[in-house]
Amino acid sequence: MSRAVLFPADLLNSEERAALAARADDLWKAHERAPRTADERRDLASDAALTDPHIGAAFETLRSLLLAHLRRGDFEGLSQAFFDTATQLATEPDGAGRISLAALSAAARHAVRELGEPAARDASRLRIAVAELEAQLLLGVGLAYNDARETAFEQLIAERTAALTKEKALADTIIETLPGLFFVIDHQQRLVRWNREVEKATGYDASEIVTHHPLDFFDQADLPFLEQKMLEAFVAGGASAEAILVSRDGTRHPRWFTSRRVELEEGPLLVGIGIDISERREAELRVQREKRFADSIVESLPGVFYLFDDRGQFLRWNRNFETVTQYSGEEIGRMHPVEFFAGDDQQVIAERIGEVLRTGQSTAEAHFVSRDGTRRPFFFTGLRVSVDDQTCVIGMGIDVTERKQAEDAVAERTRELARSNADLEQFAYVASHDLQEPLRAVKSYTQLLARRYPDRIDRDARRYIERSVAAVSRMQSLIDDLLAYSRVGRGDEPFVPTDSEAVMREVLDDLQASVSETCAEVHHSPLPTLPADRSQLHQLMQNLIANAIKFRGNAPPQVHVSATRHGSFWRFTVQDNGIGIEPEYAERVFIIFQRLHSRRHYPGTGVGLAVCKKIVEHHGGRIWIEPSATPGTCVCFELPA
Amino acid sequence: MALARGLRVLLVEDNPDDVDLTVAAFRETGAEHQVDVVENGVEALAYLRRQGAYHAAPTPDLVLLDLNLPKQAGHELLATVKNDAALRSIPVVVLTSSKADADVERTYAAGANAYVTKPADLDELFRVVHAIDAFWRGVARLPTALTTRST
Repeated sequence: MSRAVLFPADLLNSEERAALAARADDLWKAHERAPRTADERRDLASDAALTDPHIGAAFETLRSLLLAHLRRGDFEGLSQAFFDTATQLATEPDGAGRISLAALSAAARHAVRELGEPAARDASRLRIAVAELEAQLLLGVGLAYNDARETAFEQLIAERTAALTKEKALADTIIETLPGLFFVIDHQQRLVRWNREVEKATGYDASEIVTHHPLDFFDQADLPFLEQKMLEAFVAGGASAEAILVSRDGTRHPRWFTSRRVELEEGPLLVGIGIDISERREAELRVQREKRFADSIVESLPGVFYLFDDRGQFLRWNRNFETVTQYSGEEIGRMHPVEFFAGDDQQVIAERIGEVLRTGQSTAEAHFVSRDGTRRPFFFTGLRVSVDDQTCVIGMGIDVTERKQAEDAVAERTRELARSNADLEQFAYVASHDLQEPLRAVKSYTQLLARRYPDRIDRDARRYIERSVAAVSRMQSLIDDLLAYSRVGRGDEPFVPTDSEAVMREVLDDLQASVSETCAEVHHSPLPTLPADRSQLHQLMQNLIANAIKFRGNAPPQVHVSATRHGSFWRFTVQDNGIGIEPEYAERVFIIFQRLHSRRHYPGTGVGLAVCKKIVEHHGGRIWIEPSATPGTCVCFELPA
Repeated sequence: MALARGLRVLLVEDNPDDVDLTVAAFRETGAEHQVDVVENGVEALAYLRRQGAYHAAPTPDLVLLDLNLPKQAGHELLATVKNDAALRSIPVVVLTSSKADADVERTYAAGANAYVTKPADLDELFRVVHAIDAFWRGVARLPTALTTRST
């Protein structure tokens, strides 16, 4: 019979287990072989019993007890008392593991030895009693010890279980409240633990899940990849992968899985989680779509596109940039923006980039120099933007070669035109002045002849002189008119608000003589105030009214001037009852020196309406002869209001 | 207060025709005028200051000044004369073909004594010269005719 195994083996380590088993055997042997010799029993004493103060105290207690009972010869009482005390000692919290059975038996032996002499008279009886006692004691203490140990073990188990239960509850809570899937896979690739998320995501319940391989829940196409990842996790200690979880009803959930290897006695486990990334994937797809959209815009831009950071490092450019510059993307990535320019342009570009970084935006016109040295005028824009917390310049450049050429051509033509206009006007002005002097001399000397020698010239000579003077006078008029014509637009007087009605009154004053001479009636409606060169407006109206009076028929002239608003213009009409202008000449009358009638009937140089036209056009308006049914002439002109 | 003698006139004019006609007009007034002619402002100043060839020149009763002159414009000469204490009392009549208002204002502002537009017509010119003679010899008193002042 063996009672070697008294305690749950797993509570003790192997050493403890062995010691306990040995002690129990000793106990049995001692019990079966009793009585023993004193020497044998003495050998059982342990040095520890004498050195350990606790055991020493227990020993003292037991010895006193033994002595008291033996002196009284009370063997039965001794046995019981000793047993109780020993049991008590053995189960004391501190004593249980410390007072060994050997120590207790040693205590009993010492007590018996001390009693040896006084008890000699009944030595044999005493010896038997002690041996019996010892045997009982040892067995009893051993059992008590075992009981105590068992109780303590149960307590310990209970405590540990409670702690474990608490920990487990906490862990379960954590696992269940994880935002994603939680799973534990053992080294045989079985799912051994998972949270409810796994059941929800897969659509299988717990009993079904255990029957599946973890990879059964994924798209078949991903299997080789995921098998490799799982292997990697077991071998390397961890792995991550994106995979699509396919639930029972076929719904696909893109998820991000990550797992770690955990080493346990039973073997390695994979503890992992899976996070739903459908939103992230959606966002990524959106970003990708937007990027494709942006890319297609950037690529379809008609100019060169660029994005570089505040150190001039190019981050982005379109194919046009490479085409125009003839540099490869790799080269562009190594180049600074100013390197695409030459000479003063480099300075300009560096300054403008600085301006963009400082003020937020700028533009520049410079010659883009490509790899082969071709220079093209470009117009560049720059805007400061923040890309990944880095201040950058984003912009576009447009080839302005054609615009530039067109601009240059227009500018050149404008300059030529202005020059030729100025030349022409200067010529007209100077010519008029210089032509006047000899004419005046001719006329004056001719007149001087008649004046100085009135007696020496006859009637015919006097007539010739008069005709010469008249011809020269006409020439002078022509030149004066030409001069007046060339002056229109020369002065560049600013246009000021001008009351045309007041101008009208001045004109009538000036024309008073011819008005009264011809019995003319000149009326006008209310006339507006408008921006004009006052003296030119005066000239314009004077010429028109003078014409209206001059080209009269047989009846006294009647002239009516009115003005009406037409959009952003004032339209003036000067209507007379004169001889009129035949429609086919309606346009020719505005050409300088054009005359429709003989000088004899209607003297004049043919400049008046040409001057009018020039004045009106100088003001940004137009003038024309209104074809009308009524007799007479209707001249219209429009001036900006 | 008519001046007994004819006017001593300095005519500053570069156009020989105008010179001729003006001189003819003065002659026609019937008085014994002395009309000296210089062609530009530099010479006019030399005359007035009796410098070089003009060391014996008289102080004119009247300067007739054309504005459109070579070398030194009439405006410039006018300013010089009117800023010169020794010369500024000599009456200066501007006689020019310019009709510009700006010239009128500018010359009076510079101290001109009269501004006359040179007529293009001979009869007119004669009438103007007669009027000048009538005014400066027959109406106005001249600094050159003061009894306290020696010429």
